[in-house]
Amino acid sequence: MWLKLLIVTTVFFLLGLFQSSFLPHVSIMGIIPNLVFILFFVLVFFEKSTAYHEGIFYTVIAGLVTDIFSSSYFGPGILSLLVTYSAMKILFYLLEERRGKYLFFYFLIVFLVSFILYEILFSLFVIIPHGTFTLRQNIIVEESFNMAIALLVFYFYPGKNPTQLTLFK
Amino acid sequence: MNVFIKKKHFLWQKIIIGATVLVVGVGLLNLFGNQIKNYFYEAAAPLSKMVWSVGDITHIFLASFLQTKSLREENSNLQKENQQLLAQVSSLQETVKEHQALQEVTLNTKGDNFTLLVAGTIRLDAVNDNILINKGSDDGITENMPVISTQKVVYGKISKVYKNFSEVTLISNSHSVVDVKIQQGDPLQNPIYGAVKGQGNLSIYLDLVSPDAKINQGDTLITSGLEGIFPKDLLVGKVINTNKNDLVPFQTASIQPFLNINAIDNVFVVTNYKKEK
Repeated sequence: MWLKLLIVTTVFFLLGLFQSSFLPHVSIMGIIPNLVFILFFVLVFFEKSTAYHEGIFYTVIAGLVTDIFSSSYFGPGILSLLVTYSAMKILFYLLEERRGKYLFFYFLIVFLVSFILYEILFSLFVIIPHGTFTLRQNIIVEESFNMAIALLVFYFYPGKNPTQLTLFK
Repeated sequence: MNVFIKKKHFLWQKIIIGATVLVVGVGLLNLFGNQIKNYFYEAAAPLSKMVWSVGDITHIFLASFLQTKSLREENSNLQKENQQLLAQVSSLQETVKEHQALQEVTLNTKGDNFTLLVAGTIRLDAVNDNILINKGSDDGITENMPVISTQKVVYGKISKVYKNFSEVTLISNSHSVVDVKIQQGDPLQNPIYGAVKGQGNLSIYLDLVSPDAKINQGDTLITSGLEGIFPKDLLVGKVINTNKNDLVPFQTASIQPFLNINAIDNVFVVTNYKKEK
């Protein structure tokens, strides 16, 4: 258990570093995928429904990594991911029945909702000192790009669910 | 029933304790934020720099797939040469206007007034269009110092200083505004002033230009120095297309910035610039 948490923490930090130091060189249209969020999402998506402690740990670590690699103050990453985590848990509860039947679309919808929510919250928290909200250019392309990578991870994530590689059950 | 109430009671207790821990934790992190970030950047700097270099090499490698090596080198050389020429042209035009007789002599000496501090780039914060450089307050860096390239391309300004590192807000940051003037063919014409604003994702646009002013595709933008942060005559970008609308009081234009994220292994911090009164 402790080893798993240590490995996940290390992977989060390495992804944060990779995202901020390597990916800017190979970005398309200046868009850099948010690998930290994608890992956080996939971990929470596939965690056991009762494993709240693990989920909250991933959330705090992912938020901390986001804040450390961001130029803003500490907090926006942790807070926005905690709210997103809670929203994901509510969505899981509301869409419980759909999960088994349409896993692919279920994943797609929950990811899209969570990522948009996270982006809005993070931007809001970051801009508090500036007082103005400006939406980044290419936001739709950015969402699609991140979703495509999340879907790749979804397909290759070590199978906890046999229906993972099929569109329908 | 009692068990249910007890469980609910514990849940609230947990939520309150969790929220308190979170608030105290985030508060402490912010209290020692600068030191924590500095220690972290210091520890991660060698790895960050290595990953940054690997990214740079990968970019070159990928680019070589799209064009032959010789073409890439030639293109890179031409780009460099072009920027140097543009820098020279901007200095020349300003000199012509101010001291018509001394243009040749002062051409290459204007830039020498800067005291430059070379710094290495470590990472990019894509969300905020910021870069981290490996020089900080120990090296004499303070906030609002301009950051430029060897070709006099303006990259941004120092927005936060740690002990050994500093954050540079790029001109593409959505809160960045740089006063510019549009370089025209005839240096004796009245200059057109405007403001270059960042719009994230390493892109910028020109705003606040008088609707009567004539901007052409390919016009070069240089800093005007009016806002007092950037020295004048630094290269900013090139006009791609103009957007004129009678319903808005100013005309805008799409700009291709000269700042290139793949060419900022090293940047220069201007440490002695003070606006002339």
